[in-house]
Amino acid sequence: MESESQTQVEPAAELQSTAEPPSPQQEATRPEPPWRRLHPASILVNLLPHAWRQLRGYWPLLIALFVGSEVTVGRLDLDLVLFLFLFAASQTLIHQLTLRFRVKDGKLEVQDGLLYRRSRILGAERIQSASLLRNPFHRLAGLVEVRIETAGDLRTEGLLSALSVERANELLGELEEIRRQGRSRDEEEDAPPTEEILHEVGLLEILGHGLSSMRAGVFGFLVLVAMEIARQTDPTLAAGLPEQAFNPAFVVGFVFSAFAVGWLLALGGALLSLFRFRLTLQEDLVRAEQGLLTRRRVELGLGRVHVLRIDEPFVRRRMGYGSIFLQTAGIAVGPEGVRAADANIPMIPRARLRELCALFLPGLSLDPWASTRPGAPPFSRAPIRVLLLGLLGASLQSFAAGLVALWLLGPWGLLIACLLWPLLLLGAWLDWSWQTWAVDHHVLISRRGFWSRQTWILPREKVQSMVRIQDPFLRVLGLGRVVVRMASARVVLPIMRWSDAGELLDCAERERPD
Amino acid sequence: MESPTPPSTTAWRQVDPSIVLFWRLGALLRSLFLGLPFIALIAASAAYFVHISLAVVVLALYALLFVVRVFVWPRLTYQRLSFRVGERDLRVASGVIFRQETIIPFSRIQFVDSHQGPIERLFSLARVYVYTASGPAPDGGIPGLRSEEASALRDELAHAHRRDEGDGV
Repeated sequence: MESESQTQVEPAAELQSTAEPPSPQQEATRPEPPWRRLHPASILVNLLPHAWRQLRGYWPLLIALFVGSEVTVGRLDLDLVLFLFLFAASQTLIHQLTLRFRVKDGKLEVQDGLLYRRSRILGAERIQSASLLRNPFHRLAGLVEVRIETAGDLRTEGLLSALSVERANELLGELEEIRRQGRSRDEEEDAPPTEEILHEVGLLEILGHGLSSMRAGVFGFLVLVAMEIARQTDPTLAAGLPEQAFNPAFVVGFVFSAFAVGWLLALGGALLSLFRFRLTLQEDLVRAEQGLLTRRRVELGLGRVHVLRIDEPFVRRRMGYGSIFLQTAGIAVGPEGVRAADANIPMIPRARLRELCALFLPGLSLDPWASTRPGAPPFSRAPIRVLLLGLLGASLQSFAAGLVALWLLGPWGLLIACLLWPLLLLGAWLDWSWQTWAVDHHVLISRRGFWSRQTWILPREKVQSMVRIQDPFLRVLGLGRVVVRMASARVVLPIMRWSDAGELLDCAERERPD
Repeated sequence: MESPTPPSTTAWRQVDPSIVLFWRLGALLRSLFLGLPFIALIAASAAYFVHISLAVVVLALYALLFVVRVFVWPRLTYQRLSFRVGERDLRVASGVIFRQETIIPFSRIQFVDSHQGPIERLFSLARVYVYTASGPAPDGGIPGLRSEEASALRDELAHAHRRDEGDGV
């Protein structure tokens, strides 16, 4: 509905000050900067877009009211829509009346709220980017929305929702001036840098990627959705469901069909997304280009990598390949367009994984593939109690599956359950064997899984916060989990001793390496 | 202007005890206005469709839950909630059944929010939420602070960029 245009506003001219820095007495008597408010026209400018966002959030309810086969639109339904619209209008009014902001001591202060008052202080140096947005309503009123982006945070959208252009430029100029004081400038103009091709993916690799990215569950989900839609639109179809749906031969055929269709879907998806994939390096900028119908170009600065994940599913591992997934802090808008937050580098020969990981994370000193024996030093392995936990979980899963199979298939179901149990136990043991983690001065590495093996490499200087969590069951066993929060990502480490989790938390307070 | 040097402490601090009364009041109101009608409906249905004894069991269970929610749980939550402002980080410990301890280095703090609802205002209480670049949800939250303490903590954390004045990312 909105037609938004983003413009990068040029900051105000740098102030030339030759005056002496103010004395403490002068600082104390300096008047407080005044609070500023939204433009009065913000109510009208924000009303329809905000109401649309509110209504859009209730789309399942609206579909149920207006699309269901046995329901006709009545007075109650229209009253509900009117209530939602009035609710949005009241929120818009409160937003305009209560929001105020100012720049004080190098920080942006924003306050809003009537019953629930919110006060925010945002350091100018924390701002990743700032942009101006104008939808058609803004343009009609001569206003603009200021969006201040900090890494990993989406909640500044809609905060400074309607300012005059002059006020917006004044605000951005103030913030830019503060940020510029903390930045060094490099004004040298070099010759156009050369581009080095790091990795390319051919058609065979794309097909291999698809084969090793099975999506069997998608087929089952689509069948269930189709059945529900059919039942809603024509109830006689449901009555005609053949009894042989519970026939063992039908079930086996259904499972094989699900796998086959899942593979086909994965192959198609890989072709569409990874066609002509190319990874290049230009100075400190990594570019990934890919896509058949929609061509996508992702640019990542080498120093911006926050999370590096290596995916080595069993089939892909046997083929001799792995994939790297890179994630940064957020999104930046620059002269060359939008720099997206992540990149997926598929089908890398396993011999090259180490080289590329070292390129993206120059501080990488630990080698995730140093030893073929999982859990060997410097890697830690989860204690044996975690294995017992996994075996118990696998047993419960097979018991539940056995009950369902017994109900559906009778004695055949019991046989399937008896075969499933040792397989799940083996899977639990393999998963425990390959759960490891390690930490040194530069990185934190976590590895999980055997069938779908994933290895996370996290630069410690990019760790935002860490949490250790203990539910009652883990408390009895003296175990706990650690969740590492990176910018726009959460990585859950393997279950470990509660004391080990505490030691890992202490790592977070140690700053970037010297 | 030089940023004020926050007091160095490694001691765990508890929040204001009046938060217990605030939580009890909230639980009481929720139980009376939301839970009780719902449970009454279930009990009536049980009595009508099954047997009166089942309704008695449902009501007895709800009464037990009511006592725990209003009288026991807030006290336990208060005892398990503490925070520590260290040399380089903020730590928050919380949780009764699911215990957790969060550590947030000062250099990673993007911004700090303080929230105060209308009933919290009556108790002169406020909440502080700390955000890093990890996402839209706060990394740590401390309810039950006195209003002035919440403002002081908020300002202290907002100014606590120790060695690095960068973007915290």
